[in-house]
Amino acid sequence: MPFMKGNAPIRRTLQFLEAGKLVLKDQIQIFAVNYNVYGDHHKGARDFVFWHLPQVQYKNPHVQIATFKNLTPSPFIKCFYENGHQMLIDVDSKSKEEIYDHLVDVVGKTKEVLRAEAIAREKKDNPANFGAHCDKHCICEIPGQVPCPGICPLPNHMRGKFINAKE
Amino acid sequence: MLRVLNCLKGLQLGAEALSPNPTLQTVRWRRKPRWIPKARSKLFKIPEIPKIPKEENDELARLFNNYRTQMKSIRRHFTYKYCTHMQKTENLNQKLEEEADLRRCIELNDKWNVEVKKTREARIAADIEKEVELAEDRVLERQRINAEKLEEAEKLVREQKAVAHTFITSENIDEAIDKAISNEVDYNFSIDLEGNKYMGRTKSPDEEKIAVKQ
Repeated sequence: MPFMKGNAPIRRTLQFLEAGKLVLKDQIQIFAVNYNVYGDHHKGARDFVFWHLPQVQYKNPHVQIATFKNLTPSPFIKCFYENGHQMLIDVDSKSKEEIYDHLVDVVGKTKEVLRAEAIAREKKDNPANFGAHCDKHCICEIPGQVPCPGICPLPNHMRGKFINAKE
Repeated sequence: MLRVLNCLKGLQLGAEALSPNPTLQTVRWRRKPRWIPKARSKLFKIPEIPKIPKEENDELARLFNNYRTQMKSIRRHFTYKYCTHMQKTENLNQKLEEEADLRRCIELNDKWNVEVKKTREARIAADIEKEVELAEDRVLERQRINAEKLEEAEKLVREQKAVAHTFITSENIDEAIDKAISNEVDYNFSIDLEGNKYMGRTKSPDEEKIAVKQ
């Protein structure tokens, strides 16, 4: 789709998609929104679908997101868990911000979890990182680098024992 | 563009008539809509039922049964593997943590739902009140219109009653006929160049004029 076509093309920008703060919990498999395309008390749900659903789908690529239009008298969101549990969230007459904040509280991962996951991902992702939970434990694993002195002794000209030795 | 070309194809025109581009080819890109009837040339065509020999049919059935059995077993195998995998990786501590978190979220959500329920019920009550008010207004308006109509009808009746003594009835019909015959009325007239009006079709201007009004 051309970039600047359609309603609010900002919704398709990477910056906007990445700004979403709702990362659903791992147990959630399906996220279903029921709303009507008319009616004042559905406005919040409608705006939520228009503005925030792209972000939610971008942040949760493995969650099935479904919208059901014009099937309900009052709007609601239903989340289906892995273990068969369901969470029903009534969003009648609520604004899209209120809905979004509540969802972050109720079905989203907490900030601590997200931070921990981000750290873990960074550790794993960045080849410049060494140590526990990283790709490489030590720089010496890379070919062409000096091996660890613990495994193989350094050349004599690098060792204090020989450099600082008294004649 | 394709749609237009398809329409043209329907008209037996083809894209060649429109465009000089020889590489352009019309494409039928979707099936015939459901509401389009069977083609006239195919209307009475009955497709032949394929005759499959018994041996071949038996062989197909055997192969298909085998296929079904194998697929079922593969599916069951994967289900079993998945279940055992899930049971093995289940961390009790993590599970307890997840359950606690879920309970907390449910509590939070229940609180929110109760609040929303209150506002929703208030909204519905207000809506119903508004509807009832509107309905009452409509009833009053309808009553007013009905009363006006009744008043108009009664007025008409009163007027007609007032002039009822001039009506022709079976008692005085002979009298009325006699009167009509004796007072002949002629609406025709002619005018001269000065614009004077002479009543009657055949009468000359010198004769006595006949009144139009009875």
